Amino acid sequence: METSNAKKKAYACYQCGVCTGICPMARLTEEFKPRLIVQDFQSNQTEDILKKNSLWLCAACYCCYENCPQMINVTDIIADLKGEAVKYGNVPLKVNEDKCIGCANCEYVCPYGAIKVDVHDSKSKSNPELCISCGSCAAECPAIAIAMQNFADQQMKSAIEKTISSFGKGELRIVSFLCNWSAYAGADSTTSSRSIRVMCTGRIDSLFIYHAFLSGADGVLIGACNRGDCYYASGNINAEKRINKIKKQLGDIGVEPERLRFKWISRSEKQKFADVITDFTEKLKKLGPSPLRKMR
Amino acid sequence: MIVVERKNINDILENLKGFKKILLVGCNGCVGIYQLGGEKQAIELAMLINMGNKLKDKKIDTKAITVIRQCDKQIVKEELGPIITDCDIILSLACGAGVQTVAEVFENIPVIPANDTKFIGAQAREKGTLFEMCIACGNCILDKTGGICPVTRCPKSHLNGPCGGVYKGKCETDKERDCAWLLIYNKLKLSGKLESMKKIASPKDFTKAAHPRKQEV
Repeated sequence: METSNAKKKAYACYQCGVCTGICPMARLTEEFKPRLIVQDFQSNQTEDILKKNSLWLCAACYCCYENCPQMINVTDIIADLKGEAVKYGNVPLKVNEDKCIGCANCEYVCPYGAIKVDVHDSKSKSNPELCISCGSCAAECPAIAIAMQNFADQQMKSAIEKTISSFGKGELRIVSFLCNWSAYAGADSTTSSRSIRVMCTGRIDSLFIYHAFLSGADGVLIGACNRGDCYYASGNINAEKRINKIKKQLGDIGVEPERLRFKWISRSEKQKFADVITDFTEKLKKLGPSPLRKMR
Repeated sequence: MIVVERKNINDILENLKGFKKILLVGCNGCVGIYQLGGEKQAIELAMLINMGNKLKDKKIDTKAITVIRQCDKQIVKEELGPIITDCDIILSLACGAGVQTVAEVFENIPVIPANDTKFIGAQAREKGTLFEMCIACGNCILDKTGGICPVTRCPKSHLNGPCGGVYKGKCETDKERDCAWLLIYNKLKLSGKLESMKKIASPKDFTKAAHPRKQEV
């Protein structure tokens, strides 16, 4: 029923592209374009979209709906498509039940109740229709049993390596993980900081940070939403806890903990972002290249 | 569940000195659930060890593996047996029981702990803190104290409390710590069993806690 209602509205679309322009997730990746989704939905050629993982990038913020001149509820169209996509086995995350230990850490961090430990077999079960794939569960899972389909572990690791290899000789290698909702929107283009965008800082696994340092980063910056500002409720708080633990470990091993910085930057604080980057670069210049780079 | 704390990484590296191939063994039991010794933590530790060795210009091979329960001889033997041949030393992320089980199964390979085993505890998830709940005294009195253990949660292990040190519901030893006996009083009052507090408990038989203990099952 709902599908047909949404479809009626979709016919009003004249492909102006405001939805894609305003979409915070379309900024993140080229794979996700609400305009094209509506186009395919109009002409009933949804099979391709239904098989793509990028469908799950929609975070249901309703920016497209609010800005659409024709008042087309693109978000609801995508929500319907998500429901369809599950039938094709297209889900935002996959739980490896052989690995899952039923510890419920995922259940505890999920702000949407989209992943729960089943009482019968004590394995995590995800509910794709509630999930908006922020990735906090995957970052928190001690058994590495949760595989995100977007921003997968391997994708993130290659992004880190790519970023680090893009720096020239003698350049300070700062890897910054920026929240797409806040810090990235507030980011200025700076020379010595290549940024990796994430849907939420809650996705940033401790392994990514260690991987960045081991691959030769001089500094790692994490730009998150302010407290209470997180689109995914608590992703930034979880990230901060994780980062503080890593800082302690880095300090113990002999890598200056100042090389890892966690900052709250809202999307309107462009000046703050510039200040943070300048300050961080200054600090790193004083510290010099990372001690871990000597061996490379 | 068993609560552990990671040892200082430098102490771990000191113990690993002179070894070339390390096998890190995580445990998916208690330590896995509390994110202290699961697979991810084992890989993290392997990365940290690599970092530490990089800083000291040394080369070392690390491999991380996780077993369901390290305190089970059968599981340890089956899971680790085939891959144990190409390692010099085992670094166990489990509790003391797990470390000893691995050490017993593999007699000719040194096993060292990555964690300090602390206590039997439970979690207050909102605060992310683990609290000690049981000292395994071998002689449970929770039936008389409304399910709150004074032997563990009262620093003086009073069997007849509270003492004079309680102030505004908190213990004199720590302003943050709730008085266990006040908690017991409130709990018994709610369940209408205050009578049981009037009985004076006789001294506890601590011979039942004399270690090492064993249990036939």
